[in-house]
Parts: sequence; C-alpha cells; structure tokens
Amino acid sequence: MIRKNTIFDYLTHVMVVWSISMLSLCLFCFLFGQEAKGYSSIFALGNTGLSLATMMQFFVLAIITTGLRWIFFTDIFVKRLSIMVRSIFMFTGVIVSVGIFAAVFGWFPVDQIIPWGMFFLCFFVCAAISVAVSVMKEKSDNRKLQEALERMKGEGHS
Amino acid sequence: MKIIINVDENINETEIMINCNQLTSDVENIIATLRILNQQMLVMRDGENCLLDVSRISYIEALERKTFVYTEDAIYESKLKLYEMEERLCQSGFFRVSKSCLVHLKFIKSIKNDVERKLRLTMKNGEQIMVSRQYAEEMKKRLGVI
Repeated sequence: MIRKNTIFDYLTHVMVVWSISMLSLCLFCFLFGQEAKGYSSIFALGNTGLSLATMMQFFVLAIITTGLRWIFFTDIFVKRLSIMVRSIFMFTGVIVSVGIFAAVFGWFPVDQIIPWGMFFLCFFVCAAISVAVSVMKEKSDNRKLQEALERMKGEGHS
Repeated sequence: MKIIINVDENINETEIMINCNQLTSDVENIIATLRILNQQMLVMRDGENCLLDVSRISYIEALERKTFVYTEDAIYESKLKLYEMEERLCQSGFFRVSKSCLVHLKFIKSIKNDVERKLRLTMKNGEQIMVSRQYAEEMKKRLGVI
C-alpha cells in the first residue's frame, strides 16, 4: 500500500535541501570564505563559519524550493503538465526566489553585472543539465513502456 | 500452425477444437482471445438491459457506488461491483489502474510516466486515464519493465 504525502514528508525534504545547502556552503566557506568576506554577506564571518542569519535565510529558501517542488512535481496542485514544462516552471520559480534573496540579503554585489551574470550562468547550466537528463530519462522510460505495451498487445492479451 | 475451417449447414452450434501436443503460450493466447470474443456482459442503457461484448469495453469505472462500462461510443451501467468485474475480466486483458477503474489493454493507445511514479494512459479515443502509484507498480511488473 502506497501512503500519501504528509507534512512530515514536506519537512523531511526541507531538511534534506537545507542540509545539502549547509554542507556546500561550509565547504565554500572553508575554501573561499576569507576572500569572499568583503563581497558576500554569506561569508561575513570569513572562513570561521556561517552566521545564524545566513543559515536562517537558506532555511527559508529550502522551505520555498520544497514548496515549488510540491507545486510542480506532485499532482496536488497541477494535475496535467509534462515533466519538461514542470521543470521549467520549477527552475524559474527557484531562480526568481534565489535572485530576490540575493538582492535582499546581499549574497553578492547586486549593483554589478558580472556577479549577476555568473549567477545566471551557473544556474542556467545546472538547470539545463538537470532538465535535459530528466527529459532524456523520461523519454527512454516512456519508450520502454510503450514497447512493452505493444509487445503485450501483440501477444494476444487483447 | 494449421487452421482448418469446416463449413457445414448441418452443424447446429459453432465449435472450435484445438489439437496440440502441449499447451504453449501461443495456444493459451488463442484461448484467451477466443474467451474474450465469446464473453458477453449484461449491462443497462437508458433503463434497458442488453448484452455487451466484452471485447468492445475500453474501460470500467466505479463512481458513487455505481459501475459504469465505457465503450468507444457509449456508456452503460452494470449491477456488478468493480471487484466482481475484475475477477471476471482479469484474464481477458483488463488491468486495474486505480481503486475505481479497470482498463482494457487493447484500447490503450499510449502509456507514459507521470509525476509521483504514476502512469498516464491515453486511450484510442483520446481520453486520458491516470494509473495510481499503487497500481502503476503492478502494471509495470505485468508489462515486464521492472
């Protein structure tokens, strides 16, 4: 019996996203924290660690991204939409959220074009790879299903 | 495989006999197909009872304690419960796709993955039917993809 998603599943996913973000940030903090101290509020404490404010900002972002995932990758809110369109909506939502957070909390100098360019470039490369992999996997799985269906029909179960 | 058809005006009832040295999957498939062709179901339409060939049924749905039988061009009602239908039709190419729906394999045009490990079936008439997570796994097993 397959159970339905609950609020605990939502919270679990939030914690997973947050944990991965924190581990990645800790690594960046250790490697580049001291150099980035003057440019980014994320590394305000240099390479000594992440501030409570940064941790809470990323926690809220984890809640938002998990919410977007639930909106676009379950059928609770959106019933009929292809996986590619769902992915595009999801990544658009995430990029807008991250952009707003970056601007509001000073994650990088928002008045300069190069940081924004790097941000969009990194995000689009990651998103494009992710969408491409999902779409290819979906097409491959669908082809296998269709072939299996045709095979079963051919075997005379109709 | 040799097929012999003997047309004789003196034969009162059509009879099909299969001679084979063992019951292979091919022979079983022929029997299953014949069984469907020979199967009929008592259904109602506009308050009148009628016999419907099972081979014409595209899917069966339970809605508000009633069981509706769909063909490509009409909707009928049956007094049988969905689980009773399933017991009768599971050997005739019907799949349970959700708690409230049985689908005839023959009428599925395409099958695709959907979100949350569900499957989306597009029927020959363009209708779309979702296979719930619970039954999607079972359906994939029967299709031999997992």
